[in-house]
Parts: sequence; C-alpha cells; structure tokens
Amino acid sequence: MLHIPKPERQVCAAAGCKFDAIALSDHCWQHTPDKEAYKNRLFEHIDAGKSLAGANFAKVDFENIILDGADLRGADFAGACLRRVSIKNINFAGASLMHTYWEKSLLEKVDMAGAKVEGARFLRADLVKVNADGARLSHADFAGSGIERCSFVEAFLDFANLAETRIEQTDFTSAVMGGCNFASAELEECNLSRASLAGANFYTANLQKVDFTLARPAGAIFREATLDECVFVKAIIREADFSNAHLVDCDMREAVMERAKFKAALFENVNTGNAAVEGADFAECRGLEK
Amino acid sequence: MILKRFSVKDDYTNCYVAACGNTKQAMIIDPGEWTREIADYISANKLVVTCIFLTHAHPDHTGGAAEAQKLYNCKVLVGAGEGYAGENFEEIEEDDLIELGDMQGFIIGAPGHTPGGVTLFMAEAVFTGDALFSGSVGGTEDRGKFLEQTQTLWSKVLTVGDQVSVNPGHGPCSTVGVERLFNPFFDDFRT
Repeated sequence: MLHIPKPERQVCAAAGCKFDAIALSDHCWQHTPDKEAYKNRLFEHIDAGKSLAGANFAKVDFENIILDGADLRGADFAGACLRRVSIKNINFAGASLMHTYWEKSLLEKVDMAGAKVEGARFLRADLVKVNADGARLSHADFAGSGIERCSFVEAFLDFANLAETRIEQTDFTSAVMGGCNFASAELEECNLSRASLAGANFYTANLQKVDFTLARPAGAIFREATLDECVFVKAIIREADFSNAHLVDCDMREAVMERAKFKAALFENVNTGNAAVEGADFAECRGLEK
Repeated sequence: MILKRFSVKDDYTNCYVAACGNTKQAMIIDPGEWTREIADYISANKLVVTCIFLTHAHPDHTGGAAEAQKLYNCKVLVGAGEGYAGENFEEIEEDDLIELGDMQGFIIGAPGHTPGGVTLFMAEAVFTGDALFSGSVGGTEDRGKFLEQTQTLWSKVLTVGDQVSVNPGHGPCSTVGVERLFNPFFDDFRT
C-alpha cells in the first residue's frame, strides 16, 4: 500500500478565510496576492527537482503551466483548473483530482492509478499512455478528448461521458462503466473484456476490433453503431439495443442476447453460435441467415 | 477501506480481501479457493485476518475457507440457514453489525439464490455474493424466490447510495446507482 508524506496544512492567512493555504503560499488560491509570481515560484520548485508529494493545490488555476516530471503523489487538486497544461511523466498515485478541469491539456505517461478523479472534466484533452488502473473516475467528462494507449483496468468510470472521443489501444478490462456515454465515439483496438457496461450508450459509435469478451453491457444502447471485428464471446447483452446497427465480422458466440433488439440491424459475417437469443427481436434485420 | 478483488476458481469466482486502513484488520470474503496470491497479498500488506465472511455456502464461494481459517485461526461468518458444514463458524442474520477495525458494517438478508444468503454493506461497498451481479441477478429455484430476492435487493441493497460499489460473487463490479437505473431485472420496479 502506498505511503505518501502529507505536509501539515495551515489555514489561509487572509482574515476570516477558512480554506487551507495552498503549497508554497500562506494563502488559499483566492487570496494568493500575485498569482503569476506564485506560478513562477511553483515552476522553479519543480525545476529544482523538489517534491510536491501530498501538497495542497485545491482550486488553483494552473492555466498554461508546465508540470512535467513533478512529484505530485498524493497531492490534492480538488477543483483545480488545468487548462492548456502539459503533464508528462507524472505520478499522481493516491492524489485527489476530483472535479478538476483539464481543457485542451496533454497528459502523457501519467500515472494516476487509484487516484480520486470523480467528476473531473477532460474536455478536448489528449491522454497518452496514462495509467488509471483502479482510479475513481465516476461521472468524469472526457467529451471530445483523445485517449491513446491508456489503461483503465478495474477503474470506476460509471456515468462517465466519453461522447465523441477517439479511443485507441486502451485497456478497460474489468472496469466499472455502467451508464457510460460513448455516443458517436470512435473506439479502435480497445479491450472492454469483463467490463460492467449496464446501460452504456454507444449510439452511432464506431467500434473497430473492440473486445467485449465476458463483458456485461446489459441494456446497453448500440443503436446505429458500426461494429467491425468486435468480440462479444460470452458477453451478457441482455436487453441491449442494436437497432439499425451494422455488425461486420463480429464474434458473438455464447453471448446471452435474451430480449436484445436487433431490429433492422445489418449482419455481415457475424458468428452467433450457441448464443442465447430467447425473446430477442430480429425483425427486419438483414444478413443473419449467413 | 482497503479492498482487493481476486479471481479464483479458474477466473470464475470473485474473492475479496477487505481491511480497515487504520488497524489493518481484515476479512476474507467468499474464498472459493485458497490461493498463494491471496495469502501473499495479506502478508505483504501486513493485514491481520479476523474473520472469513461467506455471502452464502455454495462450494464455489467456500472452497478455500477451511484452509484460510487454519492459516489465520479465525472464525467464519455465514448466514443462518445456509447449512454450512465447516468448523468454528458463527451464524449471522439481517441487521447484525459486523466490526472490522474502525469500520462497521451491517448485514442485509438476501435470500433467494440460497435460503440464508446475505449481503454485507460496509464502507461504501456492498458484497452481494450471487444475489446481485452487474446487469443481472442470481438464479433462484422458482418465481417466488426470484420475486423475494429482487424485492429485497431493490428495497434494501439498491437504496444504500448510488456511489456505493457493488462487489458480486462473479463477474465485474458495478455501482448501486448503475444497477438501480439499468439492471434489466429491476425493470418492473422502475415503472
């Protein structure tokens, strides 16, 4: 288990303020007098290789700052704004990133395994080789972001918004993703095996070589989605809705498809061998007989 | 709470180790099989196992209990009426309090899959065994038991808080909020 030093916190020096002072300051962010000077001081601290493990950065506005290489294990960024920030080679293990805002930021080779990231917003951000295994990302918003070669194994992403994202070679094995929104997202070579995906929304999404083996997208929506070379072996897609979806070269052997809807879906070379299809609706679907 | 999931029985059953972060007192939940990986995790993290908790007494959940019990010299907690055949066990039932270090949990009776099946609610997590799965529920002998099980889950388990994690006996984890909204077996309760 992780042991991270926690520097003692002091209350903001401003009269009547009850918030904690942020790291390298006597004040909370709101009362820090010269914010540009503060950012310079922070940058020099990082540049000198000094640790910021366990530091308090609650509600700090980091816009346009470069934090590459900083030691930020266990730091508290709750409510911080990280717009247009470059974050490379950073270890956020055990950090609190709840309700942080990451518009147009780059996160590369970032380790946020087990971090608390609930409600964070990664709008049009780029995440590359980010390790978020076991991270708590419930209700996080990734709308329009790019996610490439990242790992979210056993992460909590329930009700996260991944609409219009581009996700490549990313591992969501055993992730908790019920209620996730993937509408119009593009997923390529992603692993969603054993993920819980009840009620997830893949409306009009484009899925290529996505592995749903043993996943549980019960009641999920795949309406008008394109699924190319996707694997649903032994997946539980009970009551899922594939109406008007286009399924090409998919492997759905032994899937549980009870009461699933495939109305007007187009099947091309789809293997449904030994699938349980009791109560499934295949009305107007095409290509399944092959 | 420290919480670690292990896949045992050829990746079929979930066994959990739950521990108090302050005291390191730990419980093993549903050891369907005893593995070196679980034992190593417990010793590497200096956890002190105080009990083994069984959500129900099916062999795929109890298979490793005797070996773990011998190793840690602790008691087994199992629902009354489960007919558990092991040694040094204590029967538990609805509303019983379970203490683990500084944490306190309570028992929710969840019969249906088995007569004395129980769910444990502790520190933002429910351990549902084979009563509730991600997107599904456990099998029952007849319609009556199914209705009893789903009614109990809907009224007592799916009300403990949307952010509470659901840790089932098989398959992936979920959250109460997701299951309450999307698990198709509760469609009738939502209307």
